[in-house]
Parts: sequence; C-alpha cells; structure tokens
Amino acid sequence: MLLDIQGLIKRFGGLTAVSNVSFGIERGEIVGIFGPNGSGKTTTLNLIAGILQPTEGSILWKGNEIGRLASFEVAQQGLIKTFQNPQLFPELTVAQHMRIACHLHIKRALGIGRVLTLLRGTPGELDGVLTRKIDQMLELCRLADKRGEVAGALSYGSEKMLGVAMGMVCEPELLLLDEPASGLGNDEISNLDAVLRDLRTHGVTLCIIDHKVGFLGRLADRAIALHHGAIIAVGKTTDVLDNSAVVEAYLGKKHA
Amino acid sequence: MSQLIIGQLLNGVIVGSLYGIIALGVTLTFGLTGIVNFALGAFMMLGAYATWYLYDVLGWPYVPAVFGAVIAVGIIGYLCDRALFQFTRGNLVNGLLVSIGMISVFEALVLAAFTTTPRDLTYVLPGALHVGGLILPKIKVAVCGVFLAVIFGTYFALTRTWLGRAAFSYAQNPEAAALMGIRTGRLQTIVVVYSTALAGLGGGLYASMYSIDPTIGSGYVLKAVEAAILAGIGSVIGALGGGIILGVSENIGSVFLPSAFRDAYGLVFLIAILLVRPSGLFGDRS
Repeated sequence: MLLDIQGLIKRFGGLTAVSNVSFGIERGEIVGIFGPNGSGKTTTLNLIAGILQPTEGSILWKGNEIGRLASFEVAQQGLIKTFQNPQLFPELTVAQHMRIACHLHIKRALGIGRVLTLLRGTPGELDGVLTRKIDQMLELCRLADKRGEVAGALSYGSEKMLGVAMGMVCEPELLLLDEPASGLGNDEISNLDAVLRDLRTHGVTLCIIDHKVGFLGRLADRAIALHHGAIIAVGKTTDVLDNSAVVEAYLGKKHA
Repeated sequence: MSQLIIGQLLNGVIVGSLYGIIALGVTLTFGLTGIVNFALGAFMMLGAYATWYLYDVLGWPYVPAVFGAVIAVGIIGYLCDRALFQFTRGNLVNGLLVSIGMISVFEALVLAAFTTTPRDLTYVLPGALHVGGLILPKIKVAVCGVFLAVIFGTYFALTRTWLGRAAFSYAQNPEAAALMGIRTGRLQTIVVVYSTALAGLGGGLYASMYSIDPTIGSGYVLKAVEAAILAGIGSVIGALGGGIILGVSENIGSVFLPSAFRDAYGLVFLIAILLVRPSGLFGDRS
C-alpha cells in the first residue's frame, strides 16, 4: 500500500473536522474523495500534505509515519499537493513557472552544489535536462503552445492546468489534487479528464477531491464519500455514488 | 564653484552607496520575510567596532579585519534570527518592535564595552587620486567601488540567475513553495543573515573613513529605509539608486542651502518623488 491512513482525527478547538477516517491508496490508482462543502475533504488533504498536523491517528507513506512531518519534508518524499487556486506570478511565463517548480529535481541532481549556479547563472548541463522535462510536462498538460505566455494572460482553466503541471514537475509518486475541476467549463473539464488519465499512464497515483460528482464518477477507480468529517461510503466509484447514504448527504432525505 | 559641486556630487555618491548597501538589506529582508529591520543600523555599528577592534587593537591587516567583522556580524545576525526574528516572520509590528529593541541592546553593550569616546582607525589607505583637477581620497574611491560591486553582484545573482529568481519567488509564497519541497524558513534565515552581513560590511568600510561611536548606525538606517522607500520596496538595484539620489541631494542641497538642514533635503526629495510615483522610483507595484 502506497498510502495508509489509520484512525485520522483532526479537531479545531471544539470542532471535529475529521473524525476517525481510515483508508488506503494503492499505487497506480485514481482515488476520488468527495462530499459536500464542510465535509472535511480539504482538511484531510491538508493533513496528508503536512500543512496541518493530525490530532490523532497515523498517516503511513510506504510504511513510514509522515503525520508529523513539515510540508516541505512530505513533498520531498514524493507526495505533492496542488492548490485549488494555483498560486502564480502574473508577470512570469508558463515556462518560468515550471522552472521555479523544478527545485526538487535540481536539489536531487546537484545537492548543495546548486548554490554555485548563483555564480554561473545557469545550471550547466542540467539545463537541457530540465528544459526537456518541462517541455514533456507541458505537452502532457496541453500547455505546450502557451509556454511563452505570462501567467496573467492565461484563462482560469489554463492557470489550473499550470498548477497541475508544476505539481508534476516536482516528480510526485502521489499527486493530491485539490478541487481541480472547480470553476471550469465543460470543455475544460473534459480536457482535465484526459490529462489526468494521461498522468496515470505516466505512473502517477492520483488522489482527487472535488464535489463535482459527475467528473469524479467518470475518472476515479475508487471513491471515498465524506460527510461531517466521517467516511459514509467507500468502494468502487459506481457503488459509492449509488449508495443511499451518499445520495442523502448530497440531496437530502426525500430523494434517497 | 564647479569644483565644489563636482566634489559634493562625488561625496554624495560615496555616502549614497553606503545608504544603498544598508537599504539593500532593508529591502531584501522586508521583501522576503516581511520585517523592516531597523536594527541593521546597529549591525552596521557592530561591524564598524569589530573592524576597529581587529585592526587597531589586535593589529590585523585591514582587509582580513573587515572579513572577520563581516563574519562576526553575520553570526550575530544568525543568532538574532534564531532567537528573535524567526518568531516575527510576516508580522510587521512585532518585527519592528524586536528590531528597535535590538538597537538599544547593541548600543548599550558597545557603550559599556568601549565608552562613548569616538574611535578612529589608523589610516588604512592614505593619499589621493588626481583626476582632471579633482582630488579624490583613495580610500573613498575604493570603498565606493566595493559597495557598487557588492550591490551589482547581488542584483545579478538574484535577477539574472534562475536560482536567484526562484528563491525570490519561493519567498513570496512560502506555503506554495513548501508544497514543492522547499524549506522556506531556511531561505528566510539566509536572507536575514545576508542583510546583517551586508550592514557589517558597510560598517567595516565606514570605519576606514570616519570616526565611529555607538550611535552611528541609527542615522544611517533611517536614511537606508528612506532610500528603500524612495526606490520602491523590493527593488534591489533601486536600493542603490535610492541611496545615491538621497546622498547626492543632501550634499548638493547643502551647497546652496544651509547645511544644518542637510537631512531635510533628502526627505523633501523623497516626498516629492512619492507624490508623483507612490510606488517609488523603481517600484512597479501600485
């Protein structure tokens, strides 16, 4: 098991945002976590990414506890989270954003020697490697024709796609996607759908939270439904979506 | 008359580059950690005293003495970051209070150790250059050259190399950077230490030209903050430009107007610039 979460609890004062959540993610899967607003999806994702520390419970990454690590340490282990709203610099181009996100790659390749690149200006032979890698990721994320555009001129859909591409260039084994489809139009969603499938064939495991049931229903192999911070259904996506407790949580009792 | 003006112009550039090197520390620290470090003036004073102590008391040669002082001030800067500044990141008011408190502490410590008696370094580089009828003290030319080299070096490292640019962007968005695997806390520590070391260098070179006492720093840090605001906070090369404009306007102003008000001329200039360009001369953020 790639990621194994056992008895995860997060309390904010008197509020229990995540209560006793346990699930696992296998390598190569696409797992969808969904639920209405306030159901604890984002908190769960932030706990995994190290932005929040769990009150109780354990998060095992390849068998090692990561629940108490800082977010940069979690990222270094190959668990990368993207933002619901990507954090971009309006005046930098798409390619420059990708460069910025290459930190882990550079660190692994050069170690402390990367400081010397401050004097030389460019990373020497690594430069070509990075450029190829960036081009490949932009191709994969359908952004190749936008590589020279500044982020301020991108559409919202392209901005979100750039967020995914920047996550991918960090070389994740598990990519955590925070509402990748929110705010997107139908064309952009089907584009995103295709990109995420390509990422999987690329060997990346995906964990996606979203409340767009249709989008997750098509994409995810397995789904986890959260309500009031607890898991109310888990299993094959189609089964979970048909589950009466899930329908009730979404639509209210009389529709169930 | 023109000899006088050109002479004052050069003096302005030299003093201005000293403002500039401290302003560079102010602008980097603020841009990357959200703290206005008023204690940089005190670090400059520490650098001046450390240089004086190593050079005049212990008898080191001048250049190693300055290096030693820069390293010592950098270490003090590191300790201050670990003990104090790391808890005030992104908190303007707390950072301000801590840095102002540090001025009192450092000034009092130096006062207790070396008294208020002004100290003068034995001549480091006597003599003068004669250029086209102008007389330029060698030491001032050398100091100005070092300042310009350091500021331009920093500028090119931060803006022309991709690692420097990346460091700048990581620091502006610590949470996103952490999710990409970057230790942003360490990056901010590096910036705090670098800016204190720059102030130490400023102090070490200042001591070669003027006499020093425990309060020299406070005037300079105010000028440096003025220069940084004049330039637009966050602009590296602007810190130098702002410093030189300030230095020149003070020196030229005191040729034509009463020199007792020399500090005011720079401020008048600052206000005039901010009326026209609220984001500063080189600032691009509105």
